[in-house]
Amino acid sequence: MDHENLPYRRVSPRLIPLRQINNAIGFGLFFLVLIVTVLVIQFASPLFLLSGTAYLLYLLPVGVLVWGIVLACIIPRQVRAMGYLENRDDLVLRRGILFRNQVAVPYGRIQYVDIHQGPLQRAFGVTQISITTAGGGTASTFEGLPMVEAERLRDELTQRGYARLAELAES
Amino acid sequence: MKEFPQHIDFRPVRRELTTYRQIHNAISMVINVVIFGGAAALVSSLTEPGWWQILVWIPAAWILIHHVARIFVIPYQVRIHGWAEQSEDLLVRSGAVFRQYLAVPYGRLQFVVVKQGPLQRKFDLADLRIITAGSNAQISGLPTREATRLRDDLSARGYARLAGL
Amino acid sequence: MSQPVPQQHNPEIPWRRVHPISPFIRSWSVLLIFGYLLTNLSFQTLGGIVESFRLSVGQAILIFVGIVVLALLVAGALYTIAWRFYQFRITSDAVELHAGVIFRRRRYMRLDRLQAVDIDRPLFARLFGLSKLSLHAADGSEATLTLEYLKATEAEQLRREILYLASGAQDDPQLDPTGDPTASADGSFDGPEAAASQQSSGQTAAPQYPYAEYLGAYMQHNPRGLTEAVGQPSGVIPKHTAPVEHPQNPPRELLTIPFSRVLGSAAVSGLGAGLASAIWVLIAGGVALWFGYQNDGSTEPLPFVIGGGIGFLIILVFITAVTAFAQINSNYNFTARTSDSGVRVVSGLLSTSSHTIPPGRIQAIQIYQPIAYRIFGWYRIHVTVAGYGLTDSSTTVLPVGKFNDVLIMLSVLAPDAGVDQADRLIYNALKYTSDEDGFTHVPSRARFWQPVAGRRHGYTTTPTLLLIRYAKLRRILAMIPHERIQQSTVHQSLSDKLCGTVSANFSTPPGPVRVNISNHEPAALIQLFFHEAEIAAHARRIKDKNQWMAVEELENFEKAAVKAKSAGGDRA
Repeated sequence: MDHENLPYRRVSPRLIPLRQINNAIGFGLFFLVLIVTVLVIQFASPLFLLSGTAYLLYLLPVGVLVWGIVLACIIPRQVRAMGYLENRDDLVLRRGILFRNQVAVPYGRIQYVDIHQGPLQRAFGVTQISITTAGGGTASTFEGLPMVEAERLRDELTQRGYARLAELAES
Repeated sequence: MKEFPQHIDFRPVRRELTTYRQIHNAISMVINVVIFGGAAALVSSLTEPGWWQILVWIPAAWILIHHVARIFVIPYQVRIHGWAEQSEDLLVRSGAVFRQYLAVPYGRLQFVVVKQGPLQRKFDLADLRIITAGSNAQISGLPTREATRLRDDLSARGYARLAGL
Repeated sequence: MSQPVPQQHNPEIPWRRVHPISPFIRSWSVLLIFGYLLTNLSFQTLGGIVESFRLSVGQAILIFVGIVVLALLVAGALYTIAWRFYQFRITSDAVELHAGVIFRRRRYMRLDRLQAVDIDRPLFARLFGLSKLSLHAADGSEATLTLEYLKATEAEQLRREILYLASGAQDDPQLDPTGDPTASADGSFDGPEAAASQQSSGQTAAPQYPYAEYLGAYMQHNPRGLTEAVGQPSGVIPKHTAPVEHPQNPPRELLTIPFSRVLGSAAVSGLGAGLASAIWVLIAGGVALWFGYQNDGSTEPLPFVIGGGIGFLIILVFITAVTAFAQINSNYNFTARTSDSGVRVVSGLLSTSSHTIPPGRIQAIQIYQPIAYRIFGWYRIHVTVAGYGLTDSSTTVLPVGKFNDVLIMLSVLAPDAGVDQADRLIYNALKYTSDEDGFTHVPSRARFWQPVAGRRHGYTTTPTLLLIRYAKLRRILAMIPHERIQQSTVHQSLSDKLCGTVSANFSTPPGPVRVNISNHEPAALIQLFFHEAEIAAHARRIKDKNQWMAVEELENFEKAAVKAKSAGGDRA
């Protein structure tokens, strides 16, 4: 949107292979389950003998496969589109290429900050940071920061509101 | 609601929102009618004929009426929709038939979300959503630049009154 | 701004863990099931196994014991790992939690975000002398940080520490915690007179909560009863046993609910629930029987009537007993206290719980009188606290109390009612229904939509509160401090459209308090909409605080507000 030229910081590029793996596992399993189901239907029930249109059932797993491949192609661009900006008053997170989404959280509104790291994420050295405000739970979840950067950002987020407030009061 | 004071200057959203919403409405009308109508046709073709088969068509008809009614309501909705930045709070006006005025104090906003889909980008429209601890407010159809400006301003204005939720 | 802020990382503050046996207590039900399965293995199956493997009895017993020991070892190892990886620490301005072995989780919550602190003692943990400490931030009903389980004394100590740090009192030299607590408690123990004198001597003193002062406005209805209960603190405070929360204001007991009333209310609400469910079952059974009777008319109706009667009684007694016992269990020995760290309610028979809500964390108050309570003149008070959400047990700060108890609680929950005769106002709101009681009414043209409650449903405002009254048979009064309104709406629904009225909604964080006004005169309600916006803006300036004991925070906010306003003006 209108923020293209602002110094957004990008997430770690190692998020790309991580997401590719997650995507492959997720869609792979889904595809396998579907194809096995259709095969079972073909050889164990009379449905395929009754009508030739039953072969259309194979469109389901193929569709899932195609969808997974499309996503796999999008992932690198998606990850590159993710960014965060530490503004004067708020943290802005943005993501999405087609459907763009920006979330702005004023520093002083942050209730608490969580940092998650699962085993795969640890292998790729990235974390997931969630920011919770009083407005109906988690304002934003943001994946792809290295642990050190995530901790720095967290401390920055939780302290900054107060520094800014003091500055406003002094000047 | 004629009693609402007239002197407040509501800024209108972009008129292109009408076009966008009409397109959106048309597309979802086609999809919904095909799904519901198809289901109804399937059910009535597979069952014994009878008077009750008319009932099967009710959901499809209802959906159709809803979307057709929206075609006429959308222009009014867009004309009414607007916002006003007061000194202490943001006023949002919406609703063609069931009018609604909404006030969000700057000091109570929790976070702001700006959203834009591909079709909206075509018309330079963005949705701004303001989340408070109680509930949410939305302004649709802002120019992108204006949405970003408003987002920054809201954060800055709310900033001075940060405590206490 | 970008300079590193001090007190960010305090490496010297050690990480702490919960009590080592807590994993066992947390999973005692799993252990029970395991034990049950073990003892339930019949000897025949065991015998069969022994047969098939051609083992001697000695070998069989050895293998069996080996399996049990192995299982216990594995469970123990898992527990130890889970326990070792659940660490927390409290720095001067935040609580941090590190948890999880495979999926790691780190939570960081600033202490001034604290909305409420609970200490629960479930029965099983209580047997071991352990408690569960939960901290709530404004994020819905789940506790933000749960420490289960800690030694009872450690939990109390932690709560005191956390509330003290969260209050911001440590930044104030007047409230130095390092001084001898007993000495300072004695020194400042002058009761409300001292508080009053400090108030009058200037606003520089740390904000006090002179409940006795405020009670004045709530007191005129029944002066003697209330003065006896709260007005003379010297008679109420057990000077030696009261724990020193803060050196400034010693905690004061507000009220306890006598066991007879707990029993009575449990019986009433138990009976209500029992009757309701029994009648439902009876109706369902009757309908089923009637269909059966239609199908084959040969059945004798009499045994079914007797059976139905017995069934009705069984369900009635069972549901009544269960509901009543649950009520007694949670409300037994209910005590409300107040101190600098806010309101604390403690109750419970088998499992006990205590909720502490610091000042300024109450978003809205609702006084509720179910129909059955009207016979006895009892009331209930619910509050909306951003950390509690809709949880019923946490949001109830008075489960059953007389009108006087309501006033006593209100003098703490909403200390400044903004009018002189606050008791008269509350009395009118709860007990009167007349056209001139200060509340608005649903106009007669819209009574069709609210035939019963129409005459009572209405609102009124005081300089500090918005009061909304609902319902005719039950009695409900919602009290919302102006500055707590998150967002306000006026709108027209279909019923409004048809009779030319307007509805409004003043939303607060999710909670038990109702905040909508339906079918009212448009002009009046729109005036209220703008009036609220104006008055709330003013009230927010004064009341919004993170740290309720810090003075200069207020000034900072004030300056910042002026600056931001001028900046906003430039931009507009």
